[in-house]
Amino acid sequence: MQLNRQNKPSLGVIFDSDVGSRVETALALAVLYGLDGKNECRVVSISSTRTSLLSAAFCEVVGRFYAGAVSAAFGAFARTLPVGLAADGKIPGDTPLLTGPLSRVNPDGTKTYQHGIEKLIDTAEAHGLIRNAFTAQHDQNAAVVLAGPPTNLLKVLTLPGAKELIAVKVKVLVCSTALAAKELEAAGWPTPIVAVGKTDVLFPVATLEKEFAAFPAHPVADALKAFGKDAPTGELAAVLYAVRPTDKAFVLSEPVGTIRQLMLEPTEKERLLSNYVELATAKPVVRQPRFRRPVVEEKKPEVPPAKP
Amino acid sequence: MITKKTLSRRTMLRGAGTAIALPFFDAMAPAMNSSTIPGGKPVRMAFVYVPNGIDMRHWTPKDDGAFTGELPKILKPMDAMRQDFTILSNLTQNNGRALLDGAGDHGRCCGAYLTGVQPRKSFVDIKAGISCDQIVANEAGKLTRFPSLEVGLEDARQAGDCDSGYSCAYTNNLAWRSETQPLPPVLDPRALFERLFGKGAALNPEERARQNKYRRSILDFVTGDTKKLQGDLGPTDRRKLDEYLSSIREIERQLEKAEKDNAQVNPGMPKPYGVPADFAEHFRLMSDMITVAFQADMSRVVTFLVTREGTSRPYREIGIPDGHHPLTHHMNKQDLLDKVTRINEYHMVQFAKWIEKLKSIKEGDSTILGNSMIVYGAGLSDGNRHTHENLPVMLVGGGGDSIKGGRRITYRKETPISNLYLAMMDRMNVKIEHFGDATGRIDGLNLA
Repeated sequence: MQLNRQNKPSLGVIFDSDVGSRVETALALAVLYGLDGKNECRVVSISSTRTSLLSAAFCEVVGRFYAGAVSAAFGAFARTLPVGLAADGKIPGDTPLLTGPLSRVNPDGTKTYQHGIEKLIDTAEAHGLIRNAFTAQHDQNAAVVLAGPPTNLLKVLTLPGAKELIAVKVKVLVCSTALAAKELEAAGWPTPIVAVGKTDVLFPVATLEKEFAAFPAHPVADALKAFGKDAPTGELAAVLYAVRPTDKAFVLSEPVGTIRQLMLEPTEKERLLSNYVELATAKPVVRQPRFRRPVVEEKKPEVPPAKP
Repeated sequence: MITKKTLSRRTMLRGAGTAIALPFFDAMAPAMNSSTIPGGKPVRMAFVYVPNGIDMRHWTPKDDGAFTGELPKILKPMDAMRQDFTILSNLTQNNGRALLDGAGDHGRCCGAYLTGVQPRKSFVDIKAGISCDQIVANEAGKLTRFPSLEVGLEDARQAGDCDSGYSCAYTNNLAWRSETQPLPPVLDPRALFERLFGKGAALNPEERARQNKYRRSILDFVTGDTKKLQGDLGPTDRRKLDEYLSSIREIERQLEKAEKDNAQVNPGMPKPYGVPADFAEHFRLMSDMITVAFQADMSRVVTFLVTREGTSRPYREIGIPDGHHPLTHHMNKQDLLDKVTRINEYHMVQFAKWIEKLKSIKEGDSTILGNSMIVYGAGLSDGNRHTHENLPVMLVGGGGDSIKGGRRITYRKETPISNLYLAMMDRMNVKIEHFGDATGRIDGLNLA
């Protein structure tokens, strides 16, 4: 980590959430990948605190959806990004938000969304994965978005040297709830923390008939469909603030300890909502893998023997 | 009344400039129990490192759990010992990755392999970390004549730029005594022999020349002690002593032969005096001496750098004139891939012969292998793409009845290989809370 010959890439975002517990977590993922597609940030780690293989599978499905055929577009060099999963929490029942998209089948009976998560060993230990993601970021060029309980991040803090590493690498931690922010502050989280306050902006379920209708299949749209009504957007605000902290829609309170509360500027709510919709329904940007493609030997056409 | 007289575990055969440590004899056991080793089982730890990754298609057994059916091609030489090793999948060395330092995966992966930290990108101001073998050597080393042994098979410089700005110190060493002090491997079998059975260090050229002039076996120097000891031993121990001394004599013969051959064979590469031209012969000599060192409890910690990381060594002896490193950038061309696999197999054949030998030597109620933990592996998995996750890791031996072999264990993705090292250090009775980038200790090694 000593050399810094290249220009800084866009902000690296570590996203940790209880994906599948609430529809906002799926929509937040969509907004995050939408920002990644615009090169405003890079998704460098995805993990779930919900101890459920389906939660990890959904994260992978969304990742594959946005990264197209090659998950190496996650920004890593020649490797796919595994999904981190808390394995020691309570095992909750699977929700329609997860079972809806993941059980969807094509007319020929095949699964609409492919993923490689069948067993726990197909996932990564969340705290190790998150720590490793920090190690690959330029100083002050990472943000952490927590959209759920702080289980994984608290565990990261227990790793030797993690607090020092986070202080160097991370600009801000944005939590979707004040409770999680307070727990992390108490555990010694070493960067400024922003906690999303109450938001009354709702993500319209009507997007299923409009913007999402352009996709033959979209896992986040399927989750929204399973939810069936307009969705809260606290998690979406957390993601957007992490990447666009100077957006006029966001107002911060004075800090209490290391925590500031994020509030929305009432006059900007309409624009904010249209930003959410635009980003969540953005088309995936397929990037070329950075490693050399396998060489495929071209078959020479068979030449019929010359007639004597 | 029990009157059995016990022989000290530290008994040595001594002669002019010679000190030969002895293996465990029944006569060294406390009275009543001929299989109990005084001070407990001497658990050994070794790391055998091969460069440029391994062809994982022919390395990884298809299923998790007990090995069933045929082993993958590269593991086949270990078939007779299939119950004695475990394949550990998904272990990762994050600090081998670029992490903003750009090119230089070979330098990084080897420098990070046992240290668990990212080496500083420099060929002047080197810095890595103390390696796990040296942490153990600092503790377990107090019990043996040599805290650790570092051996290798390829001559390599220690300074200069060996990979995109990474010092050769990173690619050419495994063991690090401190953050800035690597321990170069001994390449010359004669130097290792002299270290083990002489004054603890290799002779200087003048001493060696003088000794060569009057070449005698080191066993000749300890005849008096040997005869005296034989008188104190029972028939089983006498047979053990004969076998042990014969194995030392055999090493001497191999050394003499290699040195004679040296005058006649041009191996096509620079090498120090005494290094056999033949790779397999060199491997055998070095591994035989490690065996003796284990057997006589001269050292419990070994690192073995088979060839240096990033090496372009050709393997003409098996019909491969191409350099190893260029071959691993095979771009998925089948003929190149086949050659990589053959090199991987060739290494494994030599390794398997050593393991077979360790398994054949009884020690108390077990064997040397049963009381050892030997990690065979590489710092890269796919040498073509330079990947640092899912490394090839084979854990051989029973670790003193604490490791159950004969299976593949797959851990969760990104599990640090440092977690394995912590689990091994525990078994060496070196308890530390943290090492490198470890997130904990791997479990399941002792489960049936």
